[in-house]
Amino acid sequence: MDSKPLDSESTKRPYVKPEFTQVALRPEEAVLGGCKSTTSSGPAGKTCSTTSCSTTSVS
Amino acid sequence: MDTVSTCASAPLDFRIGDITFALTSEDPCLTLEAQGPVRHFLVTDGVPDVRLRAAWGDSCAPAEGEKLFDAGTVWQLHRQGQGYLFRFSSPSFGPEPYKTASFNPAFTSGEICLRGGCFQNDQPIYPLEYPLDELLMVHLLAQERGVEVHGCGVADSDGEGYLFLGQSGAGKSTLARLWTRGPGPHILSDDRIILRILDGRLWMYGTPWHGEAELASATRTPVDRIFFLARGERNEIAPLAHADAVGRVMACSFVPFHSRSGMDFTLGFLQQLTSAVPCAELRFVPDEKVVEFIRENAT
Repeated sequence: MDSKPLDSESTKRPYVKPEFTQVALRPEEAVLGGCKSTTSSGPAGKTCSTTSCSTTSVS
Repeated sequence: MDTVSTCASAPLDFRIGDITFALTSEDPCLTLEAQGPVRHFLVTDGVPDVRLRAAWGDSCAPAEGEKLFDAGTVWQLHRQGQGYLFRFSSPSFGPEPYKTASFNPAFTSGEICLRGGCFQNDQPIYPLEYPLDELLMVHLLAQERGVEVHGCGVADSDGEGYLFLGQSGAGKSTLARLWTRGPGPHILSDDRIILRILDGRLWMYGTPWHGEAELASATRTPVDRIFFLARGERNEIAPLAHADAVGRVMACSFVPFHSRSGMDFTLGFLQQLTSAVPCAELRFVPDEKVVEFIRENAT
């Protein structure tokens, strides 16, 4: 029996070895923790006024 | 701060990402106020998808259920019966949370408790202040609606929709400012975009959660191209393999890591959107030439 030739009419795609690609994840950004600066996530602004970033207690 | 004040019990209705929220308070000592860009998302029509109530409390609900996620000093998530309880803390206020938010399993109804003494009681309040608003949105989207991404959305004057993805410092706000130098393009947001597939099309929505360029718009536009931002010595576009694109979108997405079903949906959604829209890396020089470069080379 003749073997089927691997030519341009073959329906099989060439095998590509699976590869791992590492993608950088910034944990604090990804979980919406912390406030925004040039290196982290959160609401923008030089002075973050959200309660979670408050440095003084109201009462 | 430019704001819209309301009476103590008047509701705040707003719509983000085609999800309509109704925020009310029956507490006569609590005045609700839409603060900042969210005031552009206020609506007077539509049936709410999510109903929220806010009130003052001397102390907020204790965490009795299993801790599902701990984001560090800012917020924790606990199981509460069949639903969920978020606790928001700050070192300034001691170990007790300054705010809690409990939700039903579908996140379509919730109760927000503001601890007295942590806020100025005589001032109007926006109870959904960061990060609660985004956390709620993340969980709603993960229930088979879509995903929120760290990105800049641009609706160009010719109708093309470009989505630029990148983590903090990638250049989203810089690029957004460059787009606004000329007439025509409309910026949906320079930092947070919601993606949804509706009627067979991928749509991107502006959000009130802007970046340093402070651009936020309550509009939506179809997504025609997705670019992952990187700095370069010259402007160039590098195509990406599909798997690479999925990984990169994932790195720029806000997802409920504690939820298996939410992660399952989100990963499938990211696979779907990266299959439907061409994805590439945009290496750019941060000057006005990049805008024309994108227009000439995006298709």
